[in-house]
Amino acid sequence: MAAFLLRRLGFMILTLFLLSLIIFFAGQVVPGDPGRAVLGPFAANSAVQALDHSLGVDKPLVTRYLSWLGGLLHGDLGKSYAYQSAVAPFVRAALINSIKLAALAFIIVVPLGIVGGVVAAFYEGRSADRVISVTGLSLTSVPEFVSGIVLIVIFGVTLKWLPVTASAGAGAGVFSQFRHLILPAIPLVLVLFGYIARMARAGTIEVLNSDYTRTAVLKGLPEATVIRRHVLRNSLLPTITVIATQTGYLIGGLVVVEVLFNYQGLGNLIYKAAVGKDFAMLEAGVLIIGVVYVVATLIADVLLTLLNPRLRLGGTE
Amino acid sequence: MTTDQASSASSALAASGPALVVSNMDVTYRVRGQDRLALRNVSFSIGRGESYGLVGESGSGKSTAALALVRYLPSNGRVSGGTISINGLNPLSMGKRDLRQLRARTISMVYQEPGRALNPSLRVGRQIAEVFEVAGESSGSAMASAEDMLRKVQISDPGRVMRRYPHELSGGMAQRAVIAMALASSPSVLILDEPTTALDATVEAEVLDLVAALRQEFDTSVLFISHNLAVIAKMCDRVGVLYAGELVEEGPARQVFDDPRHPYTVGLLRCIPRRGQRKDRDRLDTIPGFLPAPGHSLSGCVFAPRCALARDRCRSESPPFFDVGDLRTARCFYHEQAPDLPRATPSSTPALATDGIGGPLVEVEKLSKTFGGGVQALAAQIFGLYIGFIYFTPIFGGRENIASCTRPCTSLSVTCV
Amino acid sequence: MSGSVPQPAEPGAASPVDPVAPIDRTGGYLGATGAAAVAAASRSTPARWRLLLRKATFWVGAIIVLFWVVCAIFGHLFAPYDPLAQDLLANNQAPSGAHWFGTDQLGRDVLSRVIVGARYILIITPLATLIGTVLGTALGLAMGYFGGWFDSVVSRIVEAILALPFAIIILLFAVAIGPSVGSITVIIGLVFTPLIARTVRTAVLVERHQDYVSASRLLGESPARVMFGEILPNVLPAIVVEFTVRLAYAVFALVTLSFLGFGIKPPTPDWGGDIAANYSGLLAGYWWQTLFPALAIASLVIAVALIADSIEQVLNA
Repeated sequence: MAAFLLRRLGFMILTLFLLSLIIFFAGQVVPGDPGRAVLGPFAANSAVQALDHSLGVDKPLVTRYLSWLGGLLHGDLGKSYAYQSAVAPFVRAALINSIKLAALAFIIVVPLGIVGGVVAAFYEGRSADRVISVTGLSLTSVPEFVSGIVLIVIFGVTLKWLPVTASAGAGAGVFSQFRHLILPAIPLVLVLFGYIARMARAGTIEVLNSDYTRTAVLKGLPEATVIRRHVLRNSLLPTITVIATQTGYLIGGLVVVEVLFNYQGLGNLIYKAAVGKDFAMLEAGVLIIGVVYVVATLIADVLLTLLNPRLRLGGTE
Repeated sequence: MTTDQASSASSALAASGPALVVSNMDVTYRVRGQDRLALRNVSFSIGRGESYGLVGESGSGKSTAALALVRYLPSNGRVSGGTISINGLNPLSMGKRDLRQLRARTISMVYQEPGRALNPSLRVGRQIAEVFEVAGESSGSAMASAEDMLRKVQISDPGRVMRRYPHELSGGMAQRAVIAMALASSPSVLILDEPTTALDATVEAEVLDLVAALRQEFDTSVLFISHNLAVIAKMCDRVGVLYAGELVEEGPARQVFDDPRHPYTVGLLRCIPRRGQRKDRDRLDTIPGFLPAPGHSLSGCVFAPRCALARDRCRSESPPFFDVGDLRTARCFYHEQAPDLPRATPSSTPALATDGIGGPLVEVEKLSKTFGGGVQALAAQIFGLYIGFIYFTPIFGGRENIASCTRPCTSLSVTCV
Repeated sequence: MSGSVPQPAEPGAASPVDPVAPIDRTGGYLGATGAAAVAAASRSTPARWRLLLRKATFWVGAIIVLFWVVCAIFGHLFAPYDPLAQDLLANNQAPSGAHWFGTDQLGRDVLSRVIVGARYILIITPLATLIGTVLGTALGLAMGYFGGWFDSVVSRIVEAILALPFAIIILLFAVAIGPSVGSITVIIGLVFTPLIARTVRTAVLVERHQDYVSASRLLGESPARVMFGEILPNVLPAIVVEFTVRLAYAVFALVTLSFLGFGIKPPTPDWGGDIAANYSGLLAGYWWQTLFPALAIASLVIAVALIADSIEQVLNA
């Protein structure tokens, strides 16, 4: 068990390392001349060179990478060109905001998705199943900003039930923050529902068709016991791990939703940095997201191992 | 009738009638909008404490019969005709509660892959204890009874096994646990559906001995389903032969196997090697043709297309059961000629005088294969493979080029003759 | 009672999921020969086409997609106005008899822009998905077939790339290279490659250990021949399903990119871009400028997803 954890940790570090390489490459190398990119095609060459020198891009590649990496490990995420100050505080504040929004979306969608998937599995092939499956599939495919706009038009503009902006203002109470966050959370919920419901459905169907479910039923156990102890216990296992991998889709959705609702989260930060070609901010933000995702996957792996006796205790004697 | 009345009625019947009676049962599956008969007009009965074997090839419908008895057919299957009576009770007309009672107390089932039959997330002891809990015991006493049960199936350290998870048990151990679970409720009828097919031969022998012993102890009627004639001959008092969803012959096991009266049974027995036969001299017979697809045409005898005795009458009329004496029946117009069924292949081959011609065709010396992870494979010493005799020469007409080993081997010398 | 754990058997309850199909080696409980006969029939191609045509989800999806394809090709012929024609005096007009979908900030007819806007999406997405599928299949085949260190190394790289949510990767590269029809197509295609490679690799691994692969290798067939001649035809169903699913995702991604400003430059009609440009109009109550493009996106994306789902159902039956 400990060996497994160490190995997983090792892979995680390796993945993060590769991630940093890719981000560095895409952010620092591919755009070509950052000085030119920032100042535009009409700026004087001398100005571009001066900017390049101040940004440190005229040093060799490896040195740049190592100094960037070194800074990262010390918590120095670089210096934002747009704001002319350290990146780290912006990123920290934005991360917290995004976590609030993401947490709300998760709290709503996880139970909803699991219940939807399990119900669809029990009614497999019949109309309830088809309705849930097709609905989930359709909702998953619609981009978040599209459903966001439809929701804004219906609930914000026409019915005026919910506020259109996501930020409740500084120092607002929990309930007010919650009210503002609902509308942006819904597009995320809609997209994630399909994935989670599909996993829960597939897992539950497989268990329902298994030999051990048959054994449980033929033992004469009451239906509720069979469902609780034999079906759900085994079918929800893979679903739980999938939920952690939903982090990827969630983050993509966050970017769009935060831009749409003008919410100061990490997604919005990255977007503005990309548009404004503020590479230090962009790289830092993307890296944080990568770290969050990799850590989430690790947690999911660990959870799966803990909950599944087969993995926990090893193979047959 | 309340459950109490039902159970007292059934115990009254228990003293008298047979444990299981199946009459004229039809089982239909609905596949892509069409109905297909998987079992047609099947009837048999099992007396108290009797062991009945249901024999047939894959696709004959034997497992369908088992599932029909406990009403666990898949959602597109149904019993479309006939009746079933277990201890005098009819499972087909029961409500959910009574059906649950029936399954919990009266009938149990053991099937093929023991590892898959157990819930991988629960400890073994817990799963066996569940049976006792359903019977009304408290959880503490249920665990004690479970451990007791494991002892009865000859598991030497029941306490340790109780705490294990299913994947930690070997195949034989798991099957014993499943048998313990099945017998825990002291059922009147125990269905065994290919219980040893997935097990190694030595383990199989142990499990079969165990089942025989337990049958004595619990006085349970047993329905033993298998495609393995030898196992059925050993374990069962009576046997029914199933072909393409129909029962074609029935009777005491010893007599049916010694003196079969249906062409299909005759053919089946000829397919099995017997003591005294030699591969270089005798040939096993085959049954030409294939099993009919489900939903085949209903006119005539179901075995007629493959039967060497078949005449026009067989193709147009479906034969009834003929009494062939000794409580035996066979469903063939020409059952008297069945033992003389013409062979499909010649019964012997001319012996070839090829002893010693040429040397070995393939010779392996000091072959060793190592798997990564430090597991040392078996190191073979000197292998002499004298394949040059009988099997390849007549078929391939002489020398044979053996493809070279595709994995790196240590000092393999392959000599072609 | 319906919906419970599968007991007791109800007379005549049909099941579209054919339980006779999963063939278990020893003939199992449902009759192997019958199962084999049914399964063999279901694997033949003509039967599968017919099954596809019987599905309602396929038809709904196909009709909608067909409609947009017609719009993409012939839209300029039947659009009521020139989508680029501005009429500043008639800007921000609500839907009326003259302009069924109203006009945008620059007085352009929204309906015409929606009709012609299909062109951009329907050119890029199939091409990008095709590129991704071809490259991903080749990579997946190689990874699955050769295994060893090649597979390990490439898998780690793929995992690291996939650690970043899809939208972020696209963002990074779009920023770096700059948007144009060609570059966006290539970028999306390249980003799909690891995704598709992973699925293909899994399918190939299943086939890799089958006897027919060993047999052809023993016969001395070259690796290329084994991969493309033997294994590829057997993983083709998985690839087709991947293609259609990724196509839906490509539409999703493209439209999101346009919304974020990394799409084609104005004034070309583009659903995502139009939404981004007219989004501020929402606060002033000009809902038609964003709602209709949003609904167009939703319809196309759902339609493709429905087609993908029906194909998957038929191929996995």
